[in-house]
Amino acid sequence: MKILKCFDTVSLIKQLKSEGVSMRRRFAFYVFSVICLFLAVIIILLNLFGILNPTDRQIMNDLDAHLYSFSEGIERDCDELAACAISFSAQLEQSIQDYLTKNNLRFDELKNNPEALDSLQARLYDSVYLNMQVAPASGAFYILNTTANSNSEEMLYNGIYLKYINLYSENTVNNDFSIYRGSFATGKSQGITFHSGWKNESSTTFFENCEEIFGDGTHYALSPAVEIPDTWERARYIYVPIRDLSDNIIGVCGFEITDLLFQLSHKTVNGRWGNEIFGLLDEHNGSYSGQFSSGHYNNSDTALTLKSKNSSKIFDFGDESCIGLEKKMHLGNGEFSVTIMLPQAQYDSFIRKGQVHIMLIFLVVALLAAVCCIVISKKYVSPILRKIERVKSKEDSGEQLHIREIDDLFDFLEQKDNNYERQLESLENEKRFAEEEARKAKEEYEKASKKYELAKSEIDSLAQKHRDEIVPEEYNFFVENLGTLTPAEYRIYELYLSGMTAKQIAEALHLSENTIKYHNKNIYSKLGISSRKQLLRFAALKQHTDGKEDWT
Amino acid sequence: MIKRILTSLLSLAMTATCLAGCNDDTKPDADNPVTLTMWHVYGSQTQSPLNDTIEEFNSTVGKENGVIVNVVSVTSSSAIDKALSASANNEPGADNLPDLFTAYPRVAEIVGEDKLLCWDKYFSEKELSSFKEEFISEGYFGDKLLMLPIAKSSEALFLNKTLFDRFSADTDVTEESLKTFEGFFETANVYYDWSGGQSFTQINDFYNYTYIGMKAHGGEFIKNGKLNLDDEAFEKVWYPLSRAAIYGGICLDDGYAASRWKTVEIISNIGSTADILYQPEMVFYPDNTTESITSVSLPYPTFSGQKPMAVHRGGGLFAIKSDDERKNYAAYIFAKWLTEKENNVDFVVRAGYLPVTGDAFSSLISDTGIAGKESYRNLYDMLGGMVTSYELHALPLYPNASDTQSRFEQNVKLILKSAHNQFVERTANGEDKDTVLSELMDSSLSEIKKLSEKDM
Repeated sequence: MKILKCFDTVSLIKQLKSEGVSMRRRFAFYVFSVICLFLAVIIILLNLFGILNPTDRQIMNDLDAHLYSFSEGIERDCDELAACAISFSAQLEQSIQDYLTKNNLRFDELKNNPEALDSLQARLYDSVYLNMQVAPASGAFYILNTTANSNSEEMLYNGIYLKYINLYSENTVNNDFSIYRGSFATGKSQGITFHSGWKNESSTTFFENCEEIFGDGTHYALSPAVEIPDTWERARYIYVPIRDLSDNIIGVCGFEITDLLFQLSHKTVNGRWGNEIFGLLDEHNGSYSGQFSSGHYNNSDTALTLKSKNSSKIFDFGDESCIGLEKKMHLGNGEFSVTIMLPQAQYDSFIRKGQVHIMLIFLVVALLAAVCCIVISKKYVSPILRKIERVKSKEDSGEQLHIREIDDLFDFLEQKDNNYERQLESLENEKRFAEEEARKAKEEYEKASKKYELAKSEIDSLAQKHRDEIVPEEYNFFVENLGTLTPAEYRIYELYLSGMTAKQIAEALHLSENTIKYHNKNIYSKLGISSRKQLLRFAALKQHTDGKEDWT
Repeated sequence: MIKRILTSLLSLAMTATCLAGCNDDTKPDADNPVTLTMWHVYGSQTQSPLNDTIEEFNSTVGKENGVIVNVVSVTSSSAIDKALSASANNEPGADNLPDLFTAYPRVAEIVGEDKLLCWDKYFSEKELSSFKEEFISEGYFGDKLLMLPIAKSSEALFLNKTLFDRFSADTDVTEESLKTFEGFFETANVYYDWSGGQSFTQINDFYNYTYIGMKAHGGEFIKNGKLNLDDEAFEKVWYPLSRAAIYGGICLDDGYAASRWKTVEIISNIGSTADILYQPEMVFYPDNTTESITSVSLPYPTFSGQKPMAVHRGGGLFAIKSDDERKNYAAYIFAKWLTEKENNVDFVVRAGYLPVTGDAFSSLISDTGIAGKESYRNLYDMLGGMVTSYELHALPLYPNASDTQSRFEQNVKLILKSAHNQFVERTANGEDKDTVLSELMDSSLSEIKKLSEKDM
């Protein structure tokens, strides 16, 4: 609830708008924003350069180191097996030659000659057995390009193929073994167990490209991983040719490396990043197959494809995918891929963890930054606040804060304050003078008022006197006919009332005195008066009367 | 306001910390799978039903829960005993102990009970109660369930019917003769003569034969943790066996019966019902010719006049206790899945075993059609009859049981083979067959008693 309250930003903004934001908070907010912005920019940049997500880089670095070690191991194992196979081949060549010489046979005379082939197997058995014991392999074989029964439906080849059974470690010494291919007589005479999938002779594709493979001086061949007929196992074979005295290839011999032995020899590493799975793959038309250190991937039914992603590879098994690295290697007669990979989900989990850690670091830094901002803003603003408080309480002794801008501000304010004080004093003087003037004016006014009252009363008495002197009928006639005056006459009448003489009126109206006299005559006639004096008296009375009416 | 911002940041930081630390360290998860290595015995060199079952687990429940079971070795129970012993004792060249392995209860002593995972800590009481009592009780060591039954078998008589019919046509022997041990041993000797010196059969475990035989005769083969060969019942099982073996009807060589079937050295064998996996469909003759054959599974022979009995065998699943609790829990996830009715039946019918929960057991026995292949349906029909009319007994567990059992096997073979060689030699020299046979049977009895006493 409290958290929700904290996030009630609308009310917060309203409050801030109404209350305003203190300088300290504003300062803290700005600094905090700058820090966050700075952090965000750093994160974006580091992310762009792949430095920020160290998990991915660390994973790939570790995988790269392990892949290097693994590829070295693969190369060493292949070399060791190839060396054993070459030695094995030399022994067989010698023994076959001895046998043929002793029995006065040519190699092609072995075909459809089961007795001779059985006899030859009996002679070669020890070589197969001993080489299987010596080599780090799950089985050893030799296959000759001949058969005891050429009438068979499928092409068969004679030879001995021994296989270990009950393998449980990479150490094959003293393990039980069985005869997988070889004559019945050989198995019986040696007293060895017959494999569940045992047959007399082999049907194999080894001879299909033999001349081509070994024609260019290739020392050994490494086959793709194939299913071993009549078993649930898969294996690769390292094999070398067996030649006759004319250097013709008459057979092959070599060793079997089952998926199981591969797993036992190259164990899945449960390291810092979980299970790291090694693989030795070969490519066919864009899809890969091969042997992995985990049986789970060896048994995958779907074709494996590899896609590049930055510097790494995505291993797409169809229903699941892995991420890792691939290194091309030339082994025997072809190019192979040695790989290391992590399940995609496992990799993603570590990346997510890395991201959460970075987010945590960011939050902790932001938290620390916020605390620092609060402390710094407090420390930064507090002298100003103290100064303001001192200024407010008028205890300021003009001490400098040694903050140039603030000191300048306070100096400026002090200077302005002094100016204001001087202006105030001058205004107060002016006020006092104005008050004096007002008092005087009031006194004058009162005097004038008194005079006015006096004059007014005199006027009233005079008016009364005139009223008493004036014949009412004449005055009434005057008032009634005043409206009969022409505009020119009325203008002249007004000028008389303003106190002007006839001469002055003539000058003012640019008229001749005679014209004035003419108008006077008409005015007098119309108003029933006989002199200028009477005119002025009637006019004054009328003004007085009109004024009284206005007042009332 | 600052307080609010601080509170918000703090809350975010705490939430993020919680999220970051939310991984349950006791259970595996799909993002960080646990790989369990496994050695097991459920497969031959030509096929491995458990491997297929495990692949199904890996691609379904295992994938969802982050558990990968990686089969490192498919081997025989005796080889597993040897390998476990080598690993447990850190012998040079031995691999580390696997996380999971299937074996007989006797290996608990070899590996050390304290190194094994207690299944009852993970399985609920309800889950455990679904197992057949006689199967699960075998896995308890004191109050700890260290061996979880995943498939059980009994013993049966497998017969190469094609060749037996040929033999039967020439003699008066019929399949009926094979119902009792008396008839079985007599048939072996008749076949030996008919075939010109070929053994009729191989008994995979003389120890099991003796144990059940003596029990049927009211005796006790194992007494106070030792072989009890002075019991009168021992003679009753030894004489018929030694008679056939010394005569030559029983193969006494080491090695797999399936190999001998394939090369027609024998035409029958008594062994685990799981031997059906190894039964060849074709045999090879020394002249490089082959022949397709039909095999049948017959009930374990009984002793005339005695109660029908057989062993129930088949080990169970053990797990090595790990400091990483996720591994322990992963083992439980796999074991639980494997013993669920549908998965368990699916697995056992392809391997010639019996399911381990009551529900799955009844379901299979009532509908053997789910076994698929005819030879397997024949086996389960036969087993259905056996489980209702036979007493099935587990082998007793006692100190050094594994060693005692293997020494007894070797001693029996050694003594009887030697006696057979003497019999052949002496009868070739013109001595009376019956006299020599009788003499050698007595001397072999004395010898086995003497050798077994020496071993004890």
